[in-house]
Amino acid sequence: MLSDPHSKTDIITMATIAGALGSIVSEMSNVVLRTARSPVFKLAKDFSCSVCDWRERQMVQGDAELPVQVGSIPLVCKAVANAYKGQVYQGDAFLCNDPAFGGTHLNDTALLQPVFVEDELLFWTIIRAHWLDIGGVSPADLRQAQTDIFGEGLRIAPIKIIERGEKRLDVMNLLFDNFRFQEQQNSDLLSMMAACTIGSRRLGEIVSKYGKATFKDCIEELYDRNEFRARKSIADLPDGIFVGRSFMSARSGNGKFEILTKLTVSGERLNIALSGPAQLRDVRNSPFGATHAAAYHAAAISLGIKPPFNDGIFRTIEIDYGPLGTIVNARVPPAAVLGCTTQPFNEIIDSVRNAFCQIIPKERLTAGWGAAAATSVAGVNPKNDTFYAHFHPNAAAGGSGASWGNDGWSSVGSEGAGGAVQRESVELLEYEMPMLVHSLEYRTDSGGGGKWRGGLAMDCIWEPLEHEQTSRFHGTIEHIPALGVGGARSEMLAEKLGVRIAIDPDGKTRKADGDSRLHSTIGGRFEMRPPGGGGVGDPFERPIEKVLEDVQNGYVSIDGARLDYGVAINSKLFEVDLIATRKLRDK
Amino acid sequence: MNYRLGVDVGGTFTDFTLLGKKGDLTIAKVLSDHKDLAGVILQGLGSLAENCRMSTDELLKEIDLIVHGTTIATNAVIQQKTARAGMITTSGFRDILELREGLKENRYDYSVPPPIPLVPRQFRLGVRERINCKGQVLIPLDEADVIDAAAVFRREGIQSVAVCLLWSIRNPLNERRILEILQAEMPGVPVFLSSDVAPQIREYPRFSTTALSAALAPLLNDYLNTLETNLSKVGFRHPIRYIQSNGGTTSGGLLRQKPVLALDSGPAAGPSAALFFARFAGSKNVVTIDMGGTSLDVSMVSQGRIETVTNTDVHRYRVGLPMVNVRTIGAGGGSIAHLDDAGILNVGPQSAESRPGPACYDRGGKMPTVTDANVALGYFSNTALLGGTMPINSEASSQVIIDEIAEPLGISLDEAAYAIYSIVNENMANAVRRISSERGHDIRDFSIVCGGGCSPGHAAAIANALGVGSVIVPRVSSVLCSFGAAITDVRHDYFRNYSGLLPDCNFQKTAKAFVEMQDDAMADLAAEGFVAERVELVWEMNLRYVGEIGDLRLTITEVDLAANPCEVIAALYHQEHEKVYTFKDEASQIELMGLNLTAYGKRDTVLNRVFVPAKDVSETEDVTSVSIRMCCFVPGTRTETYVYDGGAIRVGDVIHGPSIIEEETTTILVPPGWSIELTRNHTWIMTSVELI
Repeated sequence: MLSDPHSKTDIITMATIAGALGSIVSEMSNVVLRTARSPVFKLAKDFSCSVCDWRERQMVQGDAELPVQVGSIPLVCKAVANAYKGQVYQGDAFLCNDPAFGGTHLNDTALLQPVFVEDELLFWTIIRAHWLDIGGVSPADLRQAQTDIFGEGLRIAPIKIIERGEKRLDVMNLLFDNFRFQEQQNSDLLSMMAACTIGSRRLGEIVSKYGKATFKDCIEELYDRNEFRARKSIADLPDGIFVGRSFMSARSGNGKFEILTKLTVSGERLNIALSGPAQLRDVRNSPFGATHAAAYHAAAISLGIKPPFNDGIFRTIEIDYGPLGTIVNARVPPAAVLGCTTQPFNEIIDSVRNAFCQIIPKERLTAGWGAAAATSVAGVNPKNDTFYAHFHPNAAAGGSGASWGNDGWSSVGSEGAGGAVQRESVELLEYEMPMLVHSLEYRTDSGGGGKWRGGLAMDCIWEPLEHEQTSRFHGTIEHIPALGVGGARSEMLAEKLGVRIAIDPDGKTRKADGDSRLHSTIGGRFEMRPPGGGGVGDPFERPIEKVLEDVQNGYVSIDGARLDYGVAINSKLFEVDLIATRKLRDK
Repeated sequence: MNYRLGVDVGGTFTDFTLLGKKGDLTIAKVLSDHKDLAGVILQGLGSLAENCRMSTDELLKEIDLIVHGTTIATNAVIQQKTARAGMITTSGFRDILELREGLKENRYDYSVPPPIPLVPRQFRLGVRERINCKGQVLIPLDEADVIDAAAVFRREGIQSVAVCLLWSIRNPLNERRILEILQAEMPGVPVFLSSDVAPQIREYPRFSTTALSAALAPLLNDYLNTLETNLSKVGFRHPIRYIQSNGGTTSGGLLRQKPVLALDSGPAAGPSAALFFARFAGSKNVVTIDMGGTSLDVSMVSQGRIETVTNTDVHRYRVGLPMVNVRTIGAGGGSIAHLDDAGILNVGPQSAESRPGPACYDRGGKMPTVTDANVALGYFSNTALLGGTMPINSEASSQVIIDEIAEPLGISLDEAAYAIYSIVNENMANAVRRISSERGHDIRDFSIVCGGGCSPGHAAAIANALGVGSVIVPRVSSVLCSFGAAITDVRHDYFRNYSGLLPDCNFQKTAKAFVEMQDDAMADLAAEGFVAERVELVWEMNLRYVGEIGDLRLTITEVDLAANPCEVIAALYHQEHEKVYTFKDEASQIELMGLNLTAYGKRDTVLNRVFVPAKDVSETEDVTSVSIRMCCFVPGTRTETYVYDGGAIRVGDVIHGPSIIEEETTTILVPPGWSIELTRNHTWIMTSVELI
């Protein structure tokens, strides 16, 4: 029976603690942004903070964290607590990145700090961040695509690096001797510790103000209330079994892999059962931690639950990753998983989303985002003859999906990061790297057709100056357009899809077409065209004046207006031909 | 020639502060009317004149300076009512303005649309040209493209143009040539160059600041023209100055060159005023909380210097120039208390505003607000507020709190009202914590200064939550920004782009660049009537460790550049980095990213005494309370609380909490555990007994 949880805690304490939890996570993030040194931390903000409780349940996910990083943090916390049962002390700190223990790709390494109050472990402050280097064959995985996890870098199962305030130098040395940029990464670790310390201090203040018992009651009640919200939303869905699917394309040829969701709704409970083909001998395999984060993310959006999220939501939903050894439940070792934060992460979200879209109210429909186009570049800088590697966000800015009532966001990257990865300044890039950017512009017609249009992709053309450069990609973007929902469809498909091209000085072009890298020649260029986002609703229902406005602004071409939206526009005067439009739309 | 007038036009009220040479001060508050600005100013002048026992004409003759702050620019941006602006940019980069930094602020909320670009894509036109990072021309400017763009702009009725080319900060010649062509092709249309408006590396903040300038120019020009004409019509012959977003004042001429500086004009004057009053209390570290009907503005002054930030967003639009660091959240007297879908009590950010307003105003408000909670708890009078001019229906307050909060939660009226009061205070305390922790400050080293009509009722509770022991309530707190306008210094910022590793820098050239900026500054300030003795100049360098995304501004002097500048500056930078960011990295190379010069034209400092017209208080009479009210400080109990008439209290009187002081425009709540003293200069200082 559904009933409103009755309050044990007084209303002020509860609102105060709920408010403080959100603000603590953002204070933790601030510290990292201020103190980290490596570009991937502060430029791209590729890290997330969270807090778990005495039973390793997630107390809060911040608003501004990366879904892929924050979603599986409680799994890692549980793994650490289990591994060190009876040996966790005040002043300890632990690291873990191992996909076998809830990790995602190896670079995303979590730091966990347990905090005791009166000899009782009361909570953990946690930050998971993308480390610049994690060892392995080469930085940014440039020489060749890995076929197993051993080539991807160092696996760190739960390990204690600080005990009762004392650094375990032997352990730290063993780890850090395996990383390429020791100095920078050491200061990154210091900033991660500062974040945990700030979080611990603030939470500690709250506990000492309200007392341990009240604090725990209050946290339990916040879970109950979140659970109540989730249950209410689930109870409103029709009971039954609903099947969703999405596809990830093969590296070459027309092959594709199907990811299947079996969504079972019964009363106030949800079960999401995922399945997919056998794990691949490339980097696009998802260990259970990443699959977990993707499935919860899709469920939380579809259930229309407003943040902040906590454990209360998770306990209403059961996730079945299926047997070990598939692309949605990779066996590690041996599977390589570098791609799991992007592909198949977004495809798993889409598969779950596809199942939900059959049963949720139309006001909550959201479309799929363009497939992740993550790109890194590397080469030898001709100015100083040193090797460089660079994560290149401007080459990966696809469009977000539309939502009911809103067009998609253009050029925000992939859904796994949720719009958290920052674009780079062209001028700063040119100042620091031997590169010249020729253009950075929206691609006309790249947004998926719909009553609400998908977000546009941003094309990027650049020239490595006086040297050869290698461009390396994790995902495939060339064959499968972003998922449109609620009657959305596109005729002009080619423009929605992604493509990666190397242009030689003689004008000859070479496409990556699923391959995971391209090399440039001196004087040549790269052109990256990430995919656009999917639309929501029937594109023929998009108001004519909105289509005209899109054409005037060059978001949609005159051909696109006719083919995708059934609107005839005169190319000279930019006027709508109403009779022709009616004819097109009545078809 | 005896008075200076500060005027702060806000959304609801226009505030006036009249400051005499001898330190006498008169304030007035008039309802804003954005259609009849001159009328509002005349009405305010009339009210001030009456208080000074003069006619308006007589008063106008006595005023030698008007300093004006206005929300017009901020409102235009919020309400999307900016001009039809065009942009000319490097071909291939016309989307920089709309791409922003590519961030989606909330990762989980799929119902928020992206910001609407200030210049729509169809009016962002690329022209063929390219300059590289060394300032070399790779592709010369195609002038025919510019002429074509001008034709489009003319056809489309474009009112102003932003010219934003890549690397124009290294070589502005193409931008300047485009200006010449546009002036010939579309005479009279204001044109802004990114290399003039916001010269910094990083194209997005530079383009955005320039686009904001263009989008605000027509509107601001009209506003300034109307204001200046109207004031001259009524016989005002002296200078008018404007509060700019950096907290200082500027002339109408300079503001017209950078209209973006009109953003936050008004609130930006708050910190100056706060610092002024805090000095009497011996405090140089101040956080200002300005709580009005709908929102709370928080800003900080540390070590006596008003904090500015560069590259911050004003309503989702990036400004690449120094602005007073004002953080706004939706917490005010009109903030609505409601239960969310999880049954948790929230207060704000929605507001009942002035219409319908709180339930106790009896104007149809049906939702409980913070003001209603204040009335229900007994903190506010249950008959009338604002010196008796605003009648209060206290039963309406109780009823909505019972209906909307107490009954659904199964708690008492007092519990519900106290919860609303406490939660809004927690929200405000969190806003203060955020702004201070971002800057690495320990908030316990600060005093709180109240601005806005609502702050004095909440300040002590916020201070309790933050561990702050002292609260300063100027008697003019309800018109704090107009007071700030009347006293603040003139401020101008100058920039030079310069980049290179410290060891490679030519410091003679750097010093020369500072001297050039200094000459510009002296000329600008001389034109505003400042002699050299009244000018203060601050030299700053933007520095970073190689590879850092942000840079730090380091204040230096001419002496630092004299001998071993490279070592001296490196040492200063390591020290500053450790202070702000908690660590230094002496192994890392330091890079110079730019030079800044800030010039202040200092106002007279004869203001050491401030008077508000007060009732005559007999020297012998003891302080007596007007009445006793039963107030709730702990749900379940009501405590006898003395209510005093603020106007009847003498300098040096100390009053212990719990008590309430009712002033003409505000109510000060002194909770248990606090005491308050009226000091000279008509400033109340409230102190926590526990934290002494």
